[in-house]
Amino acid sequence: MSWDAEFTHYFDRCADSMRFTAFLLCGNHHEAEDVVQSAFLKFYLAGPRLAQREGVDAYLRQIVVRTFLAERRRVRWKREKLTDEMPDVPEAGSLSEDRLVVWQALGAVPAKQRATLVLRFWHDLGVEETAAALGCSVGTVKSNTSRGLKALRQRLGPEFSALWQEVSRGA
Amino acid sequence: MLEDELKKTFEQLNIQPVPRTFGPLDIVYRGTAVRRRRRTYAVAAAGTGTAVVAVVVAFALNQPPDPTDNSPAGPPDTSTSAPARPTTTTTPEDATSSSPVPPASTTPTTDTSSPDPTPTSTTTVTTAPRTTGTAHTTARPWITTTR
Repeated sequence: MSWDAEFTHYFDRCADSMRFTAFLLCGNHHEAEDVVQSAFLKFYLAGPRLAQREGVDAYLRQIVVRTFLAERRRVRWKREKLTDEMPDVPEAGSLSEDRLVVWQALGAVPAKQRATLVLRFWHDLGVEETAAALGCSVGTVKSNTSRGLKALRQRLGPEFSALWQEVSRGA
Repeated sequence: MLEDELKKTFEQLNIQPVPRTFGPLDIVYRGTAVRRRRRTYAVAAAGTGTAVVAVVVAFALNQPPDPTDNSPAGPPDTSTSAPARPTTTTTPEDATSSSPVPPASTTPTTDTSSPDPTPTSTTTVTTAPRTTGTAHTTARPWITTTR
């Protein structure tokens, strides 16, 4: 099987998952598309040199996360200006009101902490796996998780936790 | 718990799939173009580097002789086979002892103005003043008596 055919197989299998991961990281579909496209391009170029093909999913996820972090680092040198006001918010309709508050609060978390939260609580990765994907130490993952959750709580405010307790009791 | 709320938020966001805006063929096309561009850059850079190295080596090996060097051509340098000369170091004391100035005793005295009454141990010929007339000169040249 040639590499192009193999790549098409991987793309069909992983593209949706990677696009959603990129969406959780970036917060909007437009930036997520750019990140995923860059990540798949890197994967295509590096593919023939891959020694083993077992951990392709983890490798692709690592490329996506690192591409997202690199894009965020490069933002200050870019000519485009990112704003908080989205031209269209298609994802807002699918969320309930309290989840929409959480989603908007997640946008204020710094990029690396946000990536840590997504990998830990969406992909259910352990501390070691998250550290390997982010290229940092285990202690950094723990501190980033703690700081990210703390920033999220501060952003949501004390009222949210009381409201969340009421909702939980009612359910 | 906030962690559970995050997970439920993520799950709720994942319900609606978003249509793809690019496919694998787009990536393959772009990847092929990137590879071609990289190969072109690599070939160009390698050619330029080789040319620069060749020019530098050519300049380094073809240095013209120094036009300001007017020293005559000498015999080939045989310093590697010839034994080394002993070096003589002259201290100030040696310099005084081996000075070319002869000692005072060997210096011929040619004083003609007045005869020296003190005899010297030299036997060199002195030019004693001769007196005209009946002057008798003794054997000893430095004593001249006139009768």
